[in-house]
Amino acid sequence: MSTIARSAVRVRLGHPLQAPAGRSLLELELDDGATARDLTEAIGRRAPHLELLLQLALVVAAGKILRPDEEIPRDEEVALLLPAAGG
Amino acid sequence: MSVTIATRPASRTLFVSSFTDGILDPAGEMLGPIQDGGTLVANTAPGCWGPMITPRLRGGHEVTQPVAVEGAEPGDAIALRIRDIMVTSIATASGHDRWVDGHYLGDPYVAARCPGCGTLYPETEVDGIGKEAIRCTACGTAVHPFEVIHGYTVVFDDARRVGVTVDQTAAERIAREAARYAALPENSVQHSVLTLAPHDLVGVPVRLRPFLGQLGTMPGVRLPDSHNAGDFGSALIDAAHEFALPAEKLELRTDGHMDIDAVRAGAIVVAPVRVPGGGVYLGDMHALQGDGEIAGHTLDVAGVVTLDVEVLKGRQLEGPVLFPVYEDLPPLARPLTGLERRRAEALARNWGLDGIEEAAPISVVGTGPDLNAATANGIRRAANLLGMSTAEVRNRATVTGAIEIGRHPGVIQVTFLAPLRSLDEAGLLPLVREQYGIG
Repeated sequence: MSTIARSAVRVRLGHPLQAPAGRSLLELELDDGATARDLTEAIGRRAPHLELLLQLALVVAAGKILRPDEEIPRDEEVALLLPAAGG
Repeated sequence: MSVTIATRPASRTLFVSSFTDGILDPAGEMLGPIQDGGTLVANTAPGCWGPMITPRLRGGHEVTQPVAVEGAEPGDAIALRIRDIMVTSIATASGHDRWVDGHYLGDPYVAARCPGCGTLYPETEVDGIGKEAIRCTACGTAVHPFEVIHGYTVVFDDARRVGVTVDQTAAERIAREAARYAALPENSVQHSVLTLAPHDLVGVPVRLRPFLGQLGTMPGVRLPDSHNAGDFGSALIDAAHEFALPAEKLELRTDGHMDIDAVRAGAIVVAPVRVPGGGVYLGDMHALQGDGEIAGHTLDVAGVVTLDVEVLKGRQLEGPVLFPVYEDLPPLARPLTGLERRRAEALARNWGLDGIEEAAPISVVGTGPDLNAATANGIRRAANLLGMSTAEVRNRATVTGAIEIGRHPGVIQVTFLAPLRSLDEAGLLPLVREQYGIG
């Protein structure tokens, strides 16, 4: 029987997510090969009240915005950030 | 990719006085071409507030029409040597903003909407002064996607060395002749921010230190000009308006909107080329700015810029690289003085070393949705550019440099002393030699 390895992922929450989440950092266990979408869905299951903000949030790792289907790089802190516009 | 470059002979010197409508479009026509090694002189219009209160402009700024440089191809870089920056505005106004619901679609910087007739990007005219002065030409409703919640009007001395914030009486007198005091270029279509006559700070003296908030090359994807950076660009991902992008397309940005105060006269910016001809553009001149531009806006002014362009063949870049003037380098990134060098060499010999590393400053720009992401981006770019690990970049930036904030929320510089051999392999040694006399 094959088993999927799991790894701890450290997630930094951007400012608008911190107050409703009640914290600035999360640590999650995800299957190796998990994608950005897997991450936001896992957080949404843990904290359903964040769902609306999670739909707007960008998943960022190593200075790069990840596509929803993109794999989360190993050993990198991941950030969930709300985009800002400016002039 | 469709790019339109005129087939005229390349000019040695090109004067630029036309502007985009706020959109950087790789399919649009470029000016030029200008010769490799040629000189570009541009009369630039103010960025930020003027375009922000001009709903027909779609990008948040009014930058110069991009210029093709002879021989520039994707995969090259263009070195931009800033020879001179001259502020022409007599006065300007600015302040911290608030978005006004009902006056935009999704993002007020790129999609203003009349709250009366619902027209997107409506034509407007100025009727009087103050925040209600800008009105939809079609229905007469005041259109103001932004409000100044704390602002000021500043006048400059003739030498453009200092300025002073003025009171309500003076601000309103200036507002009635806003275009003249702003020195708006002939082809600029923006309403002057002076029209708003903000006056919450009075009698504050300021020191001018002009630089370019925007200087770079055409991105590889159509972008609102103020969003050509990893922080504000992130607001385009899956946005509600016509400029929405998937995340991967944002990698085609060129980060021309840096708001880094070291992009001033004497500095050299090396910009990536994403489209044939490169498409050099500039604007958003700031009379001054503290690191971070924490109010969101600073003193946007009109001004004349002179810069030289040089194509660096095969120098592929992920983002801009900067060689600041010596006094803009962080203290640890300044090359050793003769005395320091002799002491370091003696110390090295005492500990059995053959000598000390030969190194010179470089500043790599990073951008991202927040400062942490921008820092990670800048470190990764520096590592890729100089053939070292991100851990080595972190160590070098700690002991021989600094991370500096260009703009909050997400533009930074990773500045440090890099080994000459790495700079040589990256094809940047001639610029280092020119700027710092090293190598």
